[in-house]
Amino acid sequence: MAPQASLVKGTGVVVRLFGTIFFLVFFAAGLAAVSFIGKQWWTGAQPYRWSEMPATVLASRIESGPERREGSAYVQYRYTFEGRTHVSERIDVDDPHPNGEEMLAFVQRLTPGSTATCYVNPKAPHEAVLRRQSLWFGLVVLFPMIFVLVGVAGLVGLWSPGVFSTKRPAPVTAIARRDSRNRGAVYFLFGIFALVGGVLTYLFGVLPLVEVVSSRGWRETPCQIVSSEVRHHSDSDGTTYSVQVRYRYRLDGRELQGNRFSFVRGTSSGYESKAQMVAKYPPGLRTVCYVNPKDPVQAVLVRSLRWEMLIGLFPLLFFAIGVGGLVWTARSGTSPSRLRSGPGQGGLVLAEAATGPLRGPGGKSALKARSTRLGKFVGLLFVCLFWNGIVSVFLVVLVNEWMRGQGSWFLSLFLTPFVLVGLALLVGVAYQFLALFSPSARLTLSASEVRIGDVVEIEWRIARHWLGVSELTILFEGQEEATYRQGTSTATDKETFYRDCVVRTNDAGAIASGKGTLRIPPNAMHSFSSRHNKIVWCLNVKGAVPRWPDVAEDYELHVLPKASV
Amino acid sequence: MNESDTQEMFVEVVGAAEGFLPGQRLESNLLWALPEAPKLIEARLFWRTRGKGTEDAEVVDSHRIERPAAAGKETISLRLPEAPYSFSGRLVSIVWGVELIAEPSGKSALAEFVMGPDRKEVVLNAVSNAPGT
Repeated sequence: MAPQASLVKGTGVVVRLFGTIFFLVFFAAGLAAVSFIGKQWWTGAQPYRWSEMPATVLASRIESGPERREGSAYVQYRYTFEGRTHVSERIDVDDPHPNGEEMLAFVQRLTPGSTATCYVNPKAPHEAVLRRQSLWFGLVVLFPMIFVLVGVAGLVGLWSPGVFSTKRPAPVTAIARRDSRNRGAVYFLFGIFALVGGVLTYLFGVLPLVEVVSSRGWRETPCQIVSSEVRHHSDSDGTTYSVQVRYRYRLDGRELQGNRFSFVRGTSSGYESKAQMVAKYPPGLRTVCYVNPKDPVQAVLVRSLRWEMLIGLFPLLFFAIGVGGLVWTARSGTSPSRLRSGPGQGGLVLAEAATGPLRGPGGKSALKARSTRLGKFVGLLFVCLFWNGIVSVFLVVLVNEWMRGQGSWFLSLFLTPFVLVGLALLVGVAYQFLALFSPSARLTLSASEVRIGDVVEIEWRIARHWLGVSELTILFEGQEEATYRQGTSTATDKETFYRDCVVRTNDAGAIASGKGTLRIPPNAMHSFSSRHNKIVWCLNVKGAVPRWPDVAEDYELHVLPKASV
Repeated sequence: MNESDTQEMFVEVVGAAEGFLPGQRLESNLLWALPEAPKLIEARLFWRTRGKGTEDAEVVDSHRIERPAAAGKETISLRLPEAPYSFSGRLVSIVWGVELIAEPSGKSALAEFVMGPDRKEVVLNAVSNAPGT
């Protein structure tokens, strides 16, 4: 008798309540960030609708003092719009006097008397700006969208009765639409990861490297250090530091100032290393800087590659996750091993599976393992690097604190299980690496296709058996696999409905190569694969190798239905 | 098994009680009596999974009636493919059926049946292990 389907997701009240609060927080935080970024972008995009007009620079300088932020740019300019002359001091639409490392070069380009381009609001001509923010900034909104999506998906998953809210099965099309919707959401999520990771990698990883390479053509120019210090930047996450050095140089009869130390962007922790760098450039020191001959206001003190630039490649991990996820989603959607028949054909069209047998001579077929050892090793290495990469940051902080006599027992205890998991992952990676060199089994079937009720011969060869496989077991199994959502995660249950031992031996000759017989029961179910449910027939090969990772691989066998009469 | 959310749609698979062989043709009687004429009536031959895993489904053949009258009946013929068989396991089952659906209202009715060798569903826990295992 067929098991009754569980048509309504059963979730406890407590789990639903806590889950609701959790996902509401995700949703609210994401929505707040989306609103804020959206508003910022909209404000910054307005000058793109304004009129572009020539302007004459009246004054330009970097200001500091109690009324201005340190290093604020001040530019005063005059322009004419519809016959009336206006004077403005606004540089950006949302910040009239922006500061930042690049403002010194910006101000030096706009010497008094020079011509610039400004953007005038036609509805309020007294309002004008010198710069327009990049519209690419709008893409930043995709990042908090992840939180909104997670929040909505979680709430829907918790509270939606699902497709089958009544005892009557819902229309078949509804299942296809649900799958299509879910896949769309998965594509979107991984797409954001890829986009954000790609953009951050470009800005913080690739761009600095490109600048280092292009600066090879910059002119070496004598300069003198005006000031140098380690600047502190404090926010809710803590304090970070940056090297601030200002120097003056002369080029083509013009005295200019530069404040760019190297091509490394942003701030970071580690005060000592930056203090050492600053100590090498005391005020008054005469040294050299490198000046862009095409834009003399652009200069840099240190143009070599620095190890901090490698940190800029960290977002590559998110890019890889995003791209990998997109590829995986696309491939899992095609279900290549599904058996299907076109309408009215009456016959069977078998789609070749990626892990299907390789046709060999004489109607034989070689079987491929369901997952490769290299794939397992790379996958585990990836997880290990990711996990230990994050945990190591906290571990370094903790160790430093203990060395300064300020260690926290609470943090130590809290971090312990994470460190233990990280160590277990390292051991796992080492084990998988050794497993790459374990003996491997090559299985060949005596037939190019196998059907229900067939009896076929299986031949095995163990490569690299010099490592000494002491016992070989090959089991032929039929399994059900069912994948389902469990809260916010996915689980797959497996149930073996058939098992046959093809060989179990510790005879060296029989281990190295041999033959056995596979009997597909005449009343069994053929191979089947859909998105969430499978019937899998496979050969499970286990080879015990003393003092080395054992051989343990599954080879899928595609069992076709009985031949039609 | 016949199921309908209203009395307005009805579908019957002739000979469903005996079951069907893979590749066999089946006849299906379609009946509808709707308050107004739909844009489309479609009969779909499908399989769906049931059990612990998230449900999957696939339509393998269909018959469309464009701009039908509000009420009508029709007998159609659909051919079953060779697979997948109807089966029942501990985790997963497959059920075959014909679904009749009216668009755009979405009203539907369906009739389920068994397809497999010997006209019976494969019951997985009845498959015995080989001796010695």
